[in-house]
Amino acid sequence: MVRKVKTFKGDGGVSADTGTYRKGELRGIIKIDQETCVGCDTCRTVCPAGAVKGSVGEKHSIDVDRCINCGQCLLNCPFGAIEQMSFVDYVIEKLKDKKTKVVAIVAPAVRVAIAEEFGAEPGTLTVGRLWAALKKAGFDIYENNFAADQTILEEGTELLARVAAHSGLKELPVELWGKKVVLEVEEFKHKPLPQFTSCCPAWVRYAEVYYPKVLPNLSSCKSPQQMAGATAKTYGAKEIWKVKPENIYTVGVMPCTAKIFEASRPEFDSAGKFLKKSGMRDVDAVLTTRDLAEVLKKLNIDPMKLSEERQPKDFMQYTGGATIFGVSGGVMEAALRFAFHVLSGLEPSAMSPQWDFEDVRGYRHPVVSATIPVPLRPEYEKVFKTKQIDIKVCVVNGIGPEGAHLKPVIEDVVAGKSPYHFIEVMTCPGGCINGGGQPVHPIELGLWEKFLYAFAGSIKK
Amino acid sequence: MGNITRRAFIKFAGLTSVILLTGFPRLGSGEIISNNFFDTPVGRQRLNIIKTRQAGQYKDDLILREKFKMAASHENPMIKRFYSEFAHHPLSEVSEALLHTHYKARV
Ligand code: SF4
Ligand code: SF4
Ligand code: SF4
Repeated sequence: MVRKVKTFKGDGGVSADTGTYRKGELRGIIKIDQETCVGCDTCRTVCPAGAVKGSVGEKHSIDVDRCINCGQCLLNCPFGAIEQMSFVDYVIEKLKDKKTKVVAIVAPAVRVAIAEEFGAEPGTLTVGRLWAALKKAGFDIYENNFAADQTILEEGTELLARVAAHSGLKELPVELWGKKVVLEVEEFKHKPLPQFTSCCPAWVRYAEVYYPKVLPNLSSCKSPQQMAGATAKTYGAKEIWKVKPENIYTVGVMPCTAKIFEASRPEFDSAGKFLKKSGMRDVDAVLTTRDLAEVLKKLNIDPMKLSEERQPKDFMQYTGGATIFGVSGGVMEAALRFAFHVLSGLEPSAMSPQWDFEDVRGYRHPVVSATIPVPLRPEYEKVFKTKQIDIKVCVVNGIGPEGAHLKPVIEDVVAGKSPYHFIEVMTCPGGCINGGGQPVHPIELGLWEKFLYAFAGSIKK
Repeated sequence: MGNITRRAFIKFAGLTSVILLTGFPRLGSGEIISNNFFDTPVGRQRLNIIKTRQAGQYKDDLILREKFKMAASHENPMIKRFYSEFAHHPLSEVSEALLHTHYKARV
């Protein structure tokens, strides 16, 4: 059974630059309840950022300036002492407002976990019934998986552009859907290799706070959530839904607490800039998987009673490459599927094992690396003067306690001796399926611990 | 329990639980015994959940490929429509404006 997580209501963010936060950003998304904490120290040992203060037997607290909002402490606290900022009430209010089009941006990992909040086994795949439940609640749907496909097109092309620029090319022809564009790649000379993924906002903040030197290595791509928000209010409003952009309210539904912070970053108002309308956010609110379950329960909707049949249209269409973004190694595999297509010119059938890059799948190792040989189509043979390119990739499956898994990989990059072209970093071990916003299965305490803590509680202060 | 304070006892209980739950006995030294989360007792408790959710995610990959014939991102017909009607091509001006960003140090 899953455990209920305590929440507190979100506010409008900080009113001026404060510590490592900028004006408007949400500060302190994760908080330790001083009443409930027993000082067992588990949170400190799982924190990737060294942001938890306190030692055994003391009340612990979080240094918000160091915290990257991943929620791993919350997920792993055996005593349920850690709370999360929530926007449940704001979203329910918007759902009631008939002139607002409320758009849910649903992340891949939500669909393999939300059922747990309704009594099902972990891993139960919930797509059609999740969509049906969202529609019943009054949401429109922009699949974050569609945004993941957008991310792959942009991030994969960016990677090819960097590789081309560093091979001394000035331009790179790219053929998609039988149409050719020639990309100027000279400016990508200033974007170093390896390229890092940028979909995980906790990792992006980790780089900004702890390793600003590697920021040029990060892909310039926004995370899928932010791509979705910006596209929904521009292209979506005009061409698909034919509504006024200011009447759209976008809600990220995420396995992740860092996404709550991400949406509040000041630079994520690009739809407004594009349309020359001020005060518009790309993503207006974020719900975790747990928060969405709460919204649905408040509205008396049980997705498990609805049909799993799915009929995707418009922004609900997505590929296999997109859905595996939810697991460690997934972004890498999806990028490889795309890069393989562009470079080789091959179009294997959907079930072909040529689309499987099992070497990069996360599983249980903290760092996974692989070399992927990609045959080149005749045009690229001439451009790169070789028949085959070996793409060297690395997947960091969880940043690790105090950065333990990531640090050796990143130190090599800083020292200029990293062998890789592309590195995926996911803050949470296993990827977003194990994110800080997912249903929480309590850690089993042994009899011995239960006894100790019950006894401790009975001793007078 | 005359001379045991609550705090001292919690410290003892806490210490026991740190060892039992996380396997990270690194008081003071800052040394981490196991760098692999999945080899710690907390990690082992998470691993089963991770495995089943992971299996669900790859099952979705299979459904998308079998039933909808879409494995790689460019095979999504809506992606094709998005670029032909609106963004033109990856890394275009529209893409740069809406889908890309830049990062700044926070120190
Ligand atoms: S894991 Fe929970 S109970 Fe233990 S120290 Fe951290 S907040 Fe307190
Ligand atoms: S585990 Fe994550 S959310 Fe918790 S304090 Fe550390 S960085 Fe912050
Ligand atoms: S790995 Fe996924 S869930 Fe975890 S912080 Fe990153 S984006 Fe969020």
